[in-house]
Formats: sequence, structure tokens, C-alpha cells
Amino acid sequence: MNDRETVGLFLKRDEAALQKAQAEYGAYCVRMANNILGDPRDAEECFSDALAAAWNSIPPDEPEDLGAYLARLTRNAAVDAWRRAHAAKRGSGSMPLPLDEAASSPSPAPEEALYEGDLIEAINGFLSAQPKHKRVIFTMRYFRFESVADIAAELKRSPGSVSAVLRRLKTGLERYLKERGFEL
Amino acid sequence: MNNEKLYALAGELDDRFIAETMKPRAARRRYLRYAAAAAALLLIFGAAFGVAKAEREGGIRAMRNLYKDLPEGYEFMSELTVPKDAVQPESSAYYGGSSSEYERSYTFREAYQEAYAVCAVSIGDYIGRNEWSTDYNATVERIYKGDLPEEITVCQYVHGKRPTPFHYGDKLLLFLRESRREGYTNAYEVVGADIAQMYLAAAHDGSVYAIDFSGLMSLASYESDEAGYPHNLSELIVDGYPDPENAEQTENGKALLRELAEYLAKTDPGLDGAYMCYVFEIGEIERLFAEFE
Repeated sequence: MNDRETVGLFLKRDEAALQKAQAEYGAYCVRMANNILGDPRDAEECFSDALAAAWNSIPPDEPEDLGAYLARLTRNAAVDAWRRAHAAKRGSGSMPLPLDEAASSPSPAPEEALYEGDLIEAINGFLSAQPKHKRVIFTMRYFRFESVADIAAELKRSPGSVSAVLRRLKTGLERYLKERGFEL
Repeated sequence: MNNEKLYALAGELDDRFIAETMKPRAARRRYLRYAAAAAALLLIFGAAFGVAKAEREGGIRAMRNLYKDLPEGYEFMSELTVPKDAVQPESSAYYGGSSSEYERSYTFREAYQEAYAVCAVSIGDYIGRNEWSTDYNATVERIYKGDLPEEITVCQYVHGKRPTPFHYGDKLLLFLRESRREGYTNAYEVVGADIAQMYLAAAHDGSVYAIDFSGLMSLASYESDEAGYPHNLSELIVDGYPDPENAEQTENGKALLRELAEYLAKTDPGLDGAYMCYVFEIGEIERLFAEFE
């Protein structure tokens, strides 16, 4: 069953859609949430939350890529869960770094949101021009929160080469954004 | 831009990029089938190990590199037991023809940059040939550059008596470009005919070596004195094939060289001693590739 058929089940309010989505994208999404939360049970809860959110938002939404749609919902749920879990620790000064900014500003001011929209568009533009294998490494690292070692293992590359790709992509992205007037 | 900001912004990456990191279920199922098949083969070969060792002199090649308790020295990763149904070309058959491929040399950097993909593969069945190409199925085991499917076709360029045909089970580090050969999908050929290819060999302590059999890529890199090479390839241990007495630097190098010479004498009648063979620890090659990225 392809994405369009599964989305069709969502649109018809057929609960089989949830099973199909779980079977197709559950492992991917739970793994990503686990990368963020470090707890498989919490990660599964996040994916359940994402499925519930998808159930409520399709329709009116009709995602072309259901996997990406669910992955984004799961990521948001996991980041929210991380923020809640670490709210108490903020006061104590214990703050894991990677998610600090991702979790700190859930609703930016309108001007800031506009700026961020342009910034995201520019980043997507930059990535579009990259070879696929580099884009995949970038997305695995920054969207899926995978470690360099795990990326290397999954892509059958050496960790050194993955690190080198990430370093060069970051440098290239910074230059690209500065040339387009973004202040970093 | 700091990492925290990147993590935050990455939440809005284009759906296409997220989808690219998802393996289709069919591919996952295929991968699981391969894993199951590999496990079954291991069991079968494990049971046959004792017999295979005894029969080695008779020409049967044993997958001994997978065992920790090897009886001696170094083992070629290509020393695989050939399944009865494996399809191979006749090792004595060479196809002639001139080749402009040899008219230029390649340094490591040049080969890496010219290659569409750089990867370690395991050679599978022989599937066909024409006057300049011998073709094999191959399984991609590690990717250093490019984007490759799990299964590819490797078109081995042949010229005169070079190179020795690949064998089922050979482990190779290949610099590949898309093949001009018609009739195949996902077909690739080695940059510079057989110049940009290295055999992989494993020591029984688990360390892996990449062997530049023709030596042409290593030699070109030396001669060009290109930045970063060869000085950062600190584990260059052999440069004296076919005379083991020329092995330098380490006892390991001497042992490996002896194994190499014996192996080549048996399997590579095309080699006449005019070539130099260079051997590198795989980690050194990987560090070099990381610099090229």
C-alpha cells in the first residue's frame, strides 16, 4: 500500500490508516524520538501522539508524503516532551545542548517568524543544490538527531567521512546564508 | 551558525529531504533477506571449514577470513568458498583490444574526484562480457563517496592480459563511474580501467588492508607529490612486489607480502613483476578520503 492509499484511509476515517502508518513509519519515527528522548517507551508515546495528531489533522490536511508528515509530527512531539521533562532541570543548570534552542521558542514573534521562514527557505535551497548523499547525512544529523557513528553505520561510511561532510556542509551553509544577507 | 540553531531550523526541512532518509519497506525486506542468506552461508561454510582447508590445495577457496582462529598469517578477503552455483568466467580467458584508458594516470585524489562513487564491494556472479568488458554482480558493503544501491553491476575493463578477472567473493575498494555498457541498470566501471581499484585483505587480528595491485595510483600520487599525500599515509608497508625481500618497515609487511606473492603467483598470470604493489591500512585510506570530501 502506498502513501496515497494510506492517506485515503485517513480521509475516509478508516482506522486501518493508523495500522498502515504504524507499520510503514513506526520504526523510523520511534527511533528518531528515541534519539531525542533516550527512552524507548517515551519515544513510542510520542509516535502515538503523532498518529493521533495526524488523525485529527487529516483531513483537512492531505500530505503528499505521509512519512515526512508523521516524522515531523513525531519530532515536534518529542521536542515538546523533552522540553517538559527538562523544564525542572533548567533551574538547576542541567541542560543537554542539542535541543536547547529547538525547544526554547515554540512561538516566535511575527517578524521573527518571517525571518525564520526566509532562513528555512534558504537552507532548503542550499540543500537542494547538494548531492543527495550529503543531504541525507545533513538530514539524519539535524532532523533525526542521529549520532555520527550511527549515520556512518547506516550509510556504510567511515565516521571520519561523515564528520568531514557535516563540517563542510556547515561551512558552506554559513557562507551561503551570509552571501544572502542573513545574520548568523 | 551554532548546532542548536541548526537543530531547531532542521525541524522545517523540506519533506523531500526527510523522505530521502527513509528506506522503502521493500528495500528493508530485501536487506533482511540478504542478512538471512548471509547467516545461512556462514553456517554452511562454518561446517565445511575443516574440509575446505584440506581441499585448498585442490583449488577450493575457503572463507577463512571470517574466523578468528585462523591458523596462520594473513588471508585475502577474496578467499571465499565459491558456491557450486556461482557463475564465473574462465580464469584463463582474456579479451584483447587497445585501451585509451591507460593513456593517463590517476593519483588517489584525481581518482576520487573523477569517481561518481567510491565503495567497498563484494563481487558476485559473473554475468557476461563483450570484447572490452567483463561484467559481474556486486554487493556494495561500504560507501565512501556517492549514492549507490545495495546491488550493482561492475563492468571490469579488460585490455590485453590485464587485469585478472574478478572472482566470486573478491572484496574490492573501487573508484567507480557510471558505465557506458548498454543493457544494465546500476552499472559502473572502474576509473582508469583497473587503475583505481584496490583489493582488500584481512589480517587474522581483524585489521584490514587495501592493496593497490597495479601500484599505478600510488606511484602517480608519489610522483605528483600532491598535497597531503603520501605523507599522511603513514602505514605504507610494502612497495616491493614481487620480491618479499624488499618488504620494508614491519614484520607484518613482510608476512603480508609473502602471502601476496604466493597469492598472485597462483591467481594472476597477467602480472609479470613489472608492477609495484602498495599496501595501506584501510584506516589510512579512509582518513585520506575524508580529506578529499
